[in-house]
Amino acid sequence: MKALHTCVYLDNVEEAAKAALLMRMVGYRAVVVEKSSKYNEIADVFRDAGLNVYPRCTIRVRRAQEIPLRASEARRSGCRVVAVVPESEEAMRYSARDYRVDIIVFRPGFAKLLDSSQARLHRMGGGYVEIDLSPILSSDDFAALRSLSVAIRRAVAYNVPAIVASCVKSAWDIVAPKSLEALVTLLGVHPNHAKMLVYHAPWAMIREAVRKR
Amino acid sequence: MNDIILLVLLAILACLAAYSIHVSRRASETARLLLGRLSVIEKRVSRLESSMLAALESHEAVEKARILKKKRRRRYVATIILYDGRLPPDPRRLQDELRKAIVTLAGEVGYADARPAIVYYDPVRGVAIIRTNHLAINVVLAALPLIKRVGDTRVRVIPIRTCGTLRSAKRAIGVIEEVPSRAA
Repeated sequence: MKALHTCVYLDNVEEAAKAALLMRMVGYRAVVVEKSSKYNEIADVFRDAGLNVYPRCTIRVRRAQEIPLRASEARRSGCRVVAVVPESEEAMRYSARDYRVDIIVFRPGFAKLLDSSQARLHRMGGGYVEIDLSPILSSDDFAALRSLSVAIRRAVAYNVPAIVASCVKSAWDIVAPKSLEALVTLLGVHPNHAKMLVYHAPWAMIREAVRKR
Repeated sequence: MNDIILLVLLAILACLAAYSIHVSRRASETARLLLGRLSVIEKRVSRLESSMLAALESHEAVEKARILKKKRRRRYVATIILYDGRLPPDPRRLQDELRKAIVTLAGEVGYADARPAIVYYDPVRGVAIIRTNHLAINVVLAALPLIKRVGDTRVRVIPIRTCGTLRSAKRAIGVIEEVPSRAA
C-alpha cells in the first residue's frame, strides 16, 4: 500500500538522499517536508528518488487570535501544508475550526480534547490531528506511551480525523508504515482503523490541503 | 311521602357507597395480585437472562478453545538490515536485541507467543528473514523499530514484506529470481 509521510524535518542534503531511498523502499510515495533554508535541494533529492514532495510550515500558537494571521502568512510563503502546534486548549479548538490549518500537532495532555465536539470542529475546518509516535520509537520514551495510546483510541472512538506518523529528523528515524500500523493495532485499535490512520488519512489530508488552495 | 322518598334516596346512596368501596377493594386486591404475578415474571425473566448470559459465556469459552486448537500459521517477515560501520551485526546478537525489543513491548508472554527466529541472514546483502506466526505478526512488526543497536553498531531493521512462505520472502528480498508471469 502506498503511504505518505507527513513530517520530515531534514536540513541536510546527504541525510535527505539516504532518507529518500529508504522511504521509497519501505513504501512511501510522497513526503511532506518542513520548509527550511535548504528546502529546494532537499525537495529535488526526494523527487529524483521518485517521491512527491509537499512543503510544510509548522507554527507554534498560544492564543487563538494569532492563528488566522500566522496561518495565512504561512500559506502565502508557499507552504502547501500548514501545521499548528497548539500551546493552549483554546488554540487547539480554534485551529480545528480554521480552514487555513491542515494539521494540528497533538501534544500530551490534550487527549481529553479529542471528543465529539472536536470532531465537529474538524468537519468545519477540514484539518487533521497528527499523533507522532517518534517519542516511543526513536527515543524509547515509554512514559509517553499511555498518553499516545489514549489519544489514538479516543480519536478512533469519536471519529476525530487523525494521522499517525513518526517524525523523521535523520535517515535513522525512518519507520516502515507496516510497523506503524502494527503498533497502532497493538495499542487497541482495529486493524482497519489502523490502516486508515496510517495510509488513508495522510492522503486525504493532502487532497484537502491542495483543494483549499 | 317526603320521608319515604328521603329514605329511598338515602338507601340508594348507601348502596352506591357500599358498591364503590367494594369495587375499590376488589381493584386493590386485583392490583396486588397482578403486582405479585409481575414480580414472579420478573424473577423468571432475570433467571432466564442470567442463564442466557452463562450460555453465551460458555459458548465464547468453547469458541476460544476451538481457536486455540487451530494451527498457528507461519509468517515470514523479509527485512533489510541497515548498519553503521564496517562489519554487519552478528545474527545471534541481533536475535537477542529482537527478543529485548519484543519483551519491552509485549512482555515475556508476548515473546513466548511470537517465538521469533531469524531463519535467513545474508550479511553481504544486509537482509534477513524473521519467522513468526500469524497471531503475533503485529508484535514483531511493531518491535522492529525498537532495535537500535547491536553491541556498538547502530542498526536499523526495516520490514519490506510479510509472506506466508519462506520462498516468497526470499523472492521479496531478491535472493530468488522472480518467476516471470505468463501473458494470457
